[in-house]
Amino acid sequence: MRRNKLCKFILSFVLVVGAIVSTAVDWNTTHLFNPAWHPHARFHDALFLLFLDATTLVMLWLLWRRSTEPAVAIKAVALYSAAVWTPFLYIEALIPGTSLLASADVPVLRVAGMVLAPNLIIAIVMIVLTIAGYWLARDASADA
Amino acid sequence: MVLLLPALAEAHTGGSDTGLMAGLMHPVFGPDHLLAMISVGVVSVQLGGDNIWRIPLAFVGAMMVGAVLGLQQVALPYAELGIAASVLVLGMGIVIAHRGMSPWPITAHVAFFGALHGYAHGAEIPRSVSPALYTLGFVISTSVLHIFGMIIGEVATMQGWLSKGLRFTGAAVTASGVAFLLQSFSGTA
Repeated sequence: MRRNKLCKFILSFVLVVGAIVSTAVDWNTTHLFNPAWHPHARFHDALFLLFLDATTLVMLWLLWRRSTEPAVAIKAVALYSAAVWTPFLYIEALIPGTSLLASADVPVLRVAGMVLAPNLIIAIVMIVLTIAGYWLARDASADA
Repeated sequence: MVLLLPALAEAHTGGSDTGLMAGLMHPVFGPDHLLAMISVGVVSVQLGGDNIWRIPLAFVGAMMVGAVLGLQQVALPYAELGIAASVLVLGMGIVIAHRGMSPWPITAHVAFFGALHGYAHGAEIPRSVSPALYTLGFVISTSVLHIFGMIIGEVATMQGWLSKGLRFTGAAVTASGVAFLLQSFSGTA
């Protein structure tokens, strides 16, 4: 039971921090209020942020509500988190002309020839925490 | 990778998200911060019960108080020595902590050391970044490190040999704390 709570805490942390960081990083002149962006691109950024914040609240409710099937909520939240964060890993490859970096002067980390943008590092941390949280919950269910 | 992160944090000077990124990276690139914060998570799980939340919250809460002092550039002599000592003490915590022992001595130490770590974060704020976003960044980053520590502590409960291994790791962290302390002494001498 304690491990289940720890897992829910980890997943909640991923949800809340993901929403806060995304909103804080985008709600400024580098993204949402960037005069160089087309108004429709800014509209889509706002749409993403408001959708993310709203669905985060829904996921938190799903995770912590009384339920006879708590494992379903944990699985749904883990899949939701994966859906939010894994696109950071492949969007550039999938859609030509897109970039992880808001501008060319954003410094990146280069490790073994790989370019790691700050948002990519955050996404990787979130994915690792999601996997760890889900795995701990699975292990707790197996023990029960 | 950890050694390369300062450049990432310091060089990110454009746009209003810079404070957040600098704050996120700050606790990660200092090995003393890194070890202490992961250790807090490990110890909290070892003590069990409500301590899983209470101890990290004590660290983060005190860290924010310390950060305010650091941001105000209040003089706090020997803060670096205290941070080095935190690694030593928290490493010892990993070695000795177990369910059933009183959590309050460790909680008090954790809060004290949290204030010192926060002071260092606050005092080392890069110029021209938002203090609020910078603080939000290192609070999030610290919480992530606590959670990694909790995961390590929880995984160690699954097998006896992992639990023993964790105690040895605690001893290694303590040895690192001694090294940091000697380094700090030589720096202040």
